[in-house]
Amino acid sequence: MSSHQSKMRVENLKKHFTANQGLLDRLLSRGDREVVKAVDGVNFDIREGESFGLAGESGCGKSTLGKTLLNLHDSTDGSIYFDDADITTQTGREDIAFRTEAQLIQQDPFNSINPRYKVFDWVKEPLDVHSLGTRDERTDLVMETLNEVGLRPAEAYASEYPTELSGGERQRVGIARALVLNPSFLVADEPVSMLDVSVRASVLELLNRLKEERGLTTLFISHDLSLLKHMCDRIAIMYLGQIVEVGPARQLINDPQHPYTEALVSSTPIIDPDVERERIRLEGEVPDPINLPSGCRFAPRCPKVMDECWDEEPRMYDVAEEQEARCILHDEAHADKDVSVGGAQATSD
Amino acid sequence: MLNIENLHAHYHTDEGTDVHAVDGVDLEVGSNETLGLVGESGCGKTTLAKALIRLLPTNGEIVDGSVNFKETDLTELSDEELRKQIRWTEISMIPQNAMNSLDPVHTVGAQIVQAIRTHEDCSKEEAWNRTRELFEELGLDENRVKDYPHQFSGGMAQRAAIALALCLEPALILADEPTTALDVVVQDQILTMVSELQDEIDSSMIMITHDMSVVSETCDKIAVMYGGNVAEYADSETIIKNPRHPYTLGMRNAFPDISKDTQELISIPGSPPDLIEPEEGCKFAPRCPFAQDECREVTPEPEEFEEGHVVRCHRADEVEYLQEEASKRETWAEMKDDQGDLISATDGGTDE
Amino acid sequence: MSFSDILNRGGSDTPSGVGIGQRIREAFQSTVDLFSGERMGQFGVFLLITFILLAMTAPLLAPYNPDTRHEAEDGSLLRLAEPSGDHLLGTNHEGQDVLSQVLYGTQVSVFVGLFAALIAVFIGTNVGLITAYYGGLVDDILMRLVDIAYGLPFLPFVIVLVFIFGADLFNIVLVIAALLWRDSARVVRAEVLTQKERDYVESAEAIGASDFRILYRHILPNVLPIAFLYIAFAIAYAVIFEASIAFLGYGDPELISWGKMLYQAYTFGAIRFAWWWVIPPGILLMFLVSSVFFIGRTLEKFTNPELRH
Ligand SMILES: Nc1ncnc2c1ncn2[C@@H]1O[C@H](COP(=O)(O)OP(=O)(O)OP(=O)(O)O)[C@@H](O)[C@H]1O
Ligand SMILES: Nc1ncnc2c1ncn2[C@@H]1O[C@H](COP(=O)(O)OP(=O)(O)OP(=O)(O)O)[C@@H](O)[C@H]1O
Ligand SMILES: [Mg+2]
Ligand SMILES: [Mg+2]
Repeated sequence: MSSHQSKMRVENLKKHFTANQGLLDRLLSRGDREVVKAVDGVNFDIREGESFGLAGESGCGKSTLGKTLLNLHDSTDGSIYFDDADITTQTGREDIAFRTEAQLIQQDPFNSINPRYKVFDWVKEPLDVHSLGTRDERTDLVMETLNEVGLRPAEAYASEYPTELSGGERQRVGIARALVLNPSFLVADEPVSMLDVSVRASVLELLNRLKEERGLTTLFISHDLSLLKHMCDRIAIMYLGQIVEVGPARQLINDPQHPYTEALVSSTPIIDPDVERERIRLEGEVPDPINLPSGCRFAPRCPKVMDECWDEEPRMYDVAEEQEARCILHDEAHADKDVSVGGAQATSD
Repeated sequence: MLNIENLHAHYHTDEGTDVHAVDGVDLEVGSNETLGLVGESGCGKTTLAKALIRLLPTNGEIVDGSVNFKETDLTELSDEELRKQIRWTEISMIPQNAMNSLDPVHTVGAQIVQAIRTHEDCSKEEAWNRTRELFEELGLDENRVKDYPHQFSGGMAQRAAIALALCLEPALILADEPTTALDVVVQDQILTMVSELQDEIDSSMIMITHDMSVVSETCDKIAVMYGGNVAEYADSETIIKNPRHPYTLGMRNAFPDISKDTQELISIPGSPPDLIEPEEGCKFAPRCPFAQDECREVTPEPEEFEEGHVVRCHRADEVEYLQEEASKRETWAEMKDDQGDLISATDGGTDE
Repeated sequence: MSFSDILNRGGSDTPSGVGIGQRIREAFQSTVDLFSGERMGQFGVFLLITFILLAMTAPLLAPYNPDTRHEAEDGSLLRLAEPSGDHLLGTNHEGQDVLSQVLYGTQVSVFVGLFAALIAVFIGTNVGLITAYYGGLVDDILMRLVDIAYGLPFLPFVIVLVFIFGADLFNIVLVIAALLWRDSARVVRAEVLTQKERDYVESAEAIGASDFRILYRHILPNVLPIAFLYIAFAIAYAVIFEASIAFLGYGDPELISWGKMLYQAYTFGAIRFAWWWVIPPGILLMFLVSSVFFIGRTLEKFTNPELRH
């Protein structure tokens, strides 16, 4: 156990979607289908004041995990502790308090703003719901937040409807709504994916400032490893509903210990046109969260697969200081094999 | 293949003012060429793409200019002709909001099948098979063709939207941030697949993205937009390595690089230009650390430097000085000080 | 400026948000925009407004009291007189002026149409919202109710209720509403089902918004266009239902309505020859119904994406 204070801790968290759960399906009464194991046994501990990065294959369950953490999905199994209180069982007043503390920036800025709300009303709504401040204070706070996320002049944007905004502008409206309550924990699901690099830098600067000044803890979901490396203290890599590697940001990117992380790092495009990346191509079938392979989930596509990999699901191995990876290569039985999988990355150091 | 001349597109607002979202764009896309379109959020990239195939929302309008595609001016065609002959079959769009482009009440597969069958004469079975193939190629599990859009993750929806755009093998693909929700492995795979397809059917692409490294790896040419104009246009290597416009130079400073361990990202201070009443002079001047009186008074015209490198800047000839200065943090920080009011708002200013 | 009007709204402790009134105004505004360029819809609106004006000014426009029995010069009742200068549309079997009756009849049709439709859509929208949002048992129970409403046979239902509660106008409005709410309940429910999958609902949950707020401030504004559409259709049905009820003889005996005029002409056996008595209420009925159908079709183009392109 580390000496750090834990902010958000999950134990063996699972979220399965069952078929015919959506009402649409029920309406059309489609035949049975198996469960989608979107999150399947996740453990981690996000520390107070930390930026925790989460990356992984598209569809591996990152958004589902983030939403389950905020109690927006009912978890199938496992427990979630926020400031050491179990949030899966809380109701009433505790839940309301939690909703002011923990906020979500949603992935899709086109779907996540009510088209009938003006920007001003949308950003102000959290304050209304929790009846915070006087009317003037709320107005000031909203305008200030809009300014901070770079929607300037704030007055001009305040009266717009979301349909009149560009993708990046909407994304910033979503960020403003999440920040207006001054939360202590933030799930940021691809918060800057539609921002140009310069605006992105200023939003990241803002998040960094909040972290330093107010101790904001963030779960930062992104596909952009360069961004995570730049922003986060630690990074976790997810694959098919499970965390396969976790470690300090720089260390994990520079020296990945799981073959999937390695493939991710090597697939990250680089800006310098002179450098040819050595990509690790992932072969094999598309992963399917419905029919999981027995043994290691990455085995069907892993370039380093061995016979043992198919036998049982690997546990997390300690691979370096504070770094763990879910790969049998790190088992003592394989100590003689080439454990260092970090060979093919395109980094310069 | 595609030739855009002096295109102006406006949005009318309730207050009776016009947003000049695209304000005089000239661009060319050759056949089998990929043009990267980058620029500040809200500078008019999506508007430009939508204007090309006249899919602007009801309050948007092309007020001037022409769009020549294979010798026809698209701005002159009737809606009917455009829909029948051009959209989807010749020019297709991968929209920025992938999820919204899918109809929530039909399964994803059914939508693609319908698209194929309305434009091509083929049996239901054939269309379903092609849909499954497309899914496979895009790295989606083919059993999920029968899923509804809301059951997809962000990246899966995006791939479905790509499938929808590619299913008729168009000659020009307008891709508006096609890979924002994709992990790098899938992104790599899809960009490779799209470029293979491009070679196969000899099609071109305009790709809008904020990811400079994606642009640099996939695009032949890059156009940098600022405030409804093209500020700089050249082949991608030139834009990445040897840009001349101060905005492009500023943009370079803000890009996190995976190979660096510590890096300070420098953002460009100030607010985006007013698109409602564009001021005289260079649009970037109020935020430009190199702005002189001339810049604030005279609108710069596009000027060609080396072969095919077009820049809209009065000081573009002082390239070495600009490049040197722009890479320093002080250059952009000083801006905040001596420009008083305008820029102090940058740091979350509450002054109103 | 946008926030100044929010500041000016009263009640400083209550969460301000966007008032439901404003939402309705906005939905209405977008409806107005929609009609620009739609000939049929504009025609429908024009007709409907004319009918409403007619209903309001009927007492001024009508040349006579509709109940007055006019007498011929020889003192006998002026039965079934053909149209003339005195009686532009002739008289009926009791010597009453047909024009005056038709004008007064407009009041009943328009009143019943509007009120029954509003009540029906009000109930239907709420049922649709609640069933779709909560799902499960609530959904099952309320949707069974809708099924029952669909199973109700029109005529026996009307006869029984009118018999129990009496045939006054207000009861008839309620009876019609009881028959009509099911359509809007179904359609609104289907729409809410797709709306609630949208991320903005999740965003409202994430900030801790109450169910009430989510239902009425987030989802409702997005289903209002559909509700408007069903108001238009419900008006048309309500007018027809009222006419049918009256034609069958179960209408309010105190009131004149188009349906009742047709009923009287029919029972008196005059429907074949007294064209001046039969055609005016018939034509007006047709115009009123088609006006709201035209409006409905235009609204439908807006709400139904398949018609839009
Ligand atoms: N409401 C739902 N019903 C059924 N399946 C769902 C639902 N939401 C998500 N899923 C499935 O769960 C899996 C994980 O989805 P999730 O959105 O968490 O992925 P993600 O990691 O965020 O991906 P991306 O990076 O593409 O956004 C996917 O297979 C998805 O199809
Ligand atoms: N329907 C509309 N009505 C009025 N203004 C609009 C409308 N759509 C976009 N705008 C405005 O036009 C400008 C250009 O928008 P556009 O969507 O083209 O930007 P973009 O370059 O695609 O930005 P992003 O990268 O953020 O998506 C923005 O300032 C936006 O606020
Ligand atoms: Mg996601
Ligand atoms: Mg855009």
